[in-house]
Amino acid sequence: MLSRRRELGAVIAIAVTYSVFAYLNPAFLTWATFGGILTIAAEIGTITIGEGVLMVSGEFDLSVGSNFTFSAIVLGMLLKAAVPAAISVLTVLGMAALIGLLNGLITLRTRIPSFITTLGTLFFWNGMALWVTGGWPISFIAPLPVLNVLGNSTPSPASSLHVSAAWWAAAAIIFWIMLENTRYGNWIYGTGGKTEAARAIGVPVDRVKLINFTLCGLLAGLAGALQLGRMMSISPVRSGLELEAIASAVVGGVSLFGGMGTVLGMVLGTIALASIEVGLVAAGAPSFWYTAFVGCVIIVIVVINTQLDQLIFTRRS
Amino acid sequence: MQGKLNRRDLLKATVGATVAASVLSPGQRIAKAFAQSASSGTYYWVAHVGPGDPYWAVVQRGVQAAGKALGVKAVFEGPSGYSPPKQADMVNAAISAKAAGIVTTSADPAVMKGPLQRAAQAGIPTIFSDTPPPKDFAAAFANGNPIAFVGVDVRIAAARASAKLVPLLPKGAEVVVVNHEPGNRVLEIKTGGYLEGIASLEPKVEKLVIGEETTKAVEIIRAYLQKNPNTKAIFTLGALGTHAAVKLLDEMKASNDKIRVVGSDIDDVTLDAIKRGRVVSAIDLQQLGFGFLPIALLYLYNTYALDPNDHIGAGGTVDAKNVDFITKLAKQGFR
Amino acid sequence: MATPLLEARDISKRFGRLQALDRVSIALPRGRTLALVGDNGAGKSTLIKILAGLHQPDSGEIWFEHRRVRLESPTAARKMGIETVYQDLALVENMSIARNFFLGAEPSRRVGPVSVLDTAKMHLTAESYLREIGITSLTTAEKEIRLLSGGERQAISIARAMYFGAKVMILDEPTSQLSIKEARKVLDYVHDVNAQGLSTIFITHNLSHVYPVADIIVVLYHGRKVGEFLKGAADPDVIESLIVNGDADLADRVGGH
Repeated sequence: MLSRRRELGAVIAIAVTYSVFAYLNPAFLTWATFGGILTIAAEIGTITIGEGVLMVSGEFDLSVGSNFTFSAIVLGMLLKAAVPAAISVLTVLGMAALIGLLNGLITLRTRIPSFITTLGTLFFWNGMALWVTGGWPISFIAPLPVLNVLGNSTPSPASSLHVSAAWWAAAAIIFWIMLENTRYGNWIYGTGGKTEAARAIGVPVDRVKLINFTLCGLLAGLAGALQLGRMMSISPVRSGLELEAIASAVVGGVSLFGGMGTVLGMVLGTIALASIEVGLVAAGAPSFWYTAFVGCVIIVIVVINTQLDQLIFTRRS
Repeated sequence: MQGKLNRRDLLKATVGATVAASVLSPGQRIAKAFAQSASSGTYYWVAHVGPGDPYWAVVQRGVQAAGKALGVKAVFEGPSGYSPPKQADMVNAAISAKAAGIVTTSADPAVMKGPLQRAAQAGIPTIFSDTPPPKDFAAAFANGNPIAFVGVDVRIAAARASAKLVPLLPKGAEVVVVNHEPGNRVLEIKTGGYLEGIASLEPKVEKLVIGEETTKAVEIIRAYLQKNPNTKAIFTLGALGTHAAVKLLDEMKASNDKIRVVGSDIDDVTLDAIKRGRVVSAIDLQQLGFGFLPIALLYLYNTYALDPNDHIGAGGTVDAKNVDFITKLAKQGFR
Repeated sequence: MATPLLEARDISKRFGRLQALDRVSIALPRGRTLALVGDNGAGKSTLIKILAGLHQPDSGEIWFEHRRVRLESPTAARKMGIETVYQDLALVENMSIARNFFLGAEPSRRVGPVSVLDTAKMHLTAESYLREIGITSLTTAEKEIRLLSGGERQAISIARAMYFGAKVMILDEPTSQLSIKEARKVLDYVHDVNAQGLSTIFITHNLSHVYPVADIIVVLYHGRKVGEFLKGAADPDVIESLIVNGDADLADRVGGH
């Protein structure tokens, strides 16, 4: 209903990716490959949903990558300290949400653009991650049950699909309902679409943004927990995932200016970029192409989206 | 002999061998049989960082040379920035692409465990390269995959390079290790090796994080030296650190014997600095070998069922004695 | 005239050094239209923002339905029955008519543990109100606002205000960005709305839009009320002069009629 057609760019990207890479290597068109793609997409995709929903409400969070790493590190430390699994996970998710809330409070209280606020917290939490670990990764040799539940389990031993994809799917369903089928979701679109109009009509726009910052932090922390679960290790090195999440959201049709975007688009955008990543490896292309390729894909898809939009606009009016 | 081959592979091999037996010599027969069991035919060398780094560019050259020499498709892959999780994703992608064999590093062994087990289940042989995995992790891989480790023991190579300093420094000298990539386990091992090499001096050691940008790194080291004027030696953990240290000491017009530098990795700046005496020694990791040898070993494993089970090592030191020859090799892109 | 429905008494508002409003009083009877005219910076926007609950006055009183009230927020004003239609920020372009119609007051129903939007009700209600107000060009409430004409947008805002039980509707420059044909349509809507017993406050630059619909015309100049006229008693030249100079005598001299 709401700008659904803007997801078409991501659909085209996926279709083209699959045609090209399946031609280059038939093994690309297998469930094993797709499972691998979903596994990669699960962590970035979880971040993308939080980032995307925040973007729909007209704000950014550049600190999600650092929040992701820091949360995974704290979870690893709590588990190493033999804190019960449920308490560790809930503590870390709460902390991640607070990191998001802090971004929101600084942004909304000081009226600094969130781009700047979260650029600052990006460096801050990255520094904290290096500080608490002394630069060393936190690794588990034997898998703990909680790590299996978060990300390490697979449907069968050789499967490339991990349970982390199920967590991502659950997050996607919850946020899809929230964004498209609740009053709060309507407020998000209103807040990002035209803040002053929404405010004038009685939507508590600052509260909407604050909640979205918090949810964005929460999902970044969840993604960190998923990666710790899947990899059984987390390194404090800067992940750069914030830009991948924003790229996935944009490819999925989320507007950089707010007010537009759907959870389905965010999911498709993430799958599109993960497919390209896996496809280039399957084709035996040098992997640094990925970065360059993604750059081109973003531009092409945004152009497609804009053109489609123009086309519909001129035809209807 | 072949714990990793499943029954289907053996069946295929047997059928292939029977068919081929009538026309081929015995050696060729076995070769053909195993070639059939290998799938897409592409060998992957997947690093934890991309070929944008001069060090890894040489590894990539080794991979390409092996592919050419053996007549197989061999590719080098790695994430654009240091990222073991992305490396694991790429190994998974290579498994999905039915690789003939996979070489990978153990920058973060825990991350690599799942993908390597999956490779074993898919019947794809793997080799660890670059730096050996820690002992506790090696035990987890005791089931025969990876089939070998081919690389350098950074600890030993670093100790050898830093030992050159022993006659040049006083006892209890203040030294600093500059780290451009905190969080990288290999660099920590390298640091340990350096300190081992000069342990007899009982030095006072500081560690300094300099970041991944040369300009910033120069200023950080400058600030450090101002605060610690008695520093006698700088240990760098990669070309970036060496560049920064050399640049700074040149700018300061410090004499070669005032502050000694021991570096890691070979490139023009490092080699030139060794010639001038600015840098005492540097670890020569001979990474061309890590590119070439594992591909060759995987090929031999697939084609002739050769199972390497010993440490095949590489790694030396470059100093004033061999710097000219190494410079020549570096010019040709072999360092 | 009967007791006013909405009355603002001696409202003053200051932004830093700027005296935006200086003891301004207006009174709006039930079912009537009050036109608020004045140049940019005359204080029209400030006054309606106070009546909409967006700003708080520094001093002065607001009376609504014989009671003194405090309009603390847009929601509070809306609850009382004061709806405001802002000139170009009334609607969110990328959202559908139905979603805009109910923004901030969405109907929902429970599905298991969650409360979800009642989309069917949103569409049916929006569509029926659009029919009621006489917009035949729109048959579906699914269309996005940016695909609509200016007149259609105003109509939606007015229909929305009616649905939410508005007693007073404040229209901020409802015709400023419309073609003549569309502006006439909007003025017709205002007329219909008044016939249904709603009172409207109407802000505009364009005096020719004021005369056909306004029962009372209030002129603001630099934050002060400089004139108030009943329908028919207003001389366009006098009003023009008041708007420009804040002074009616000048109009006689300059206008010379």
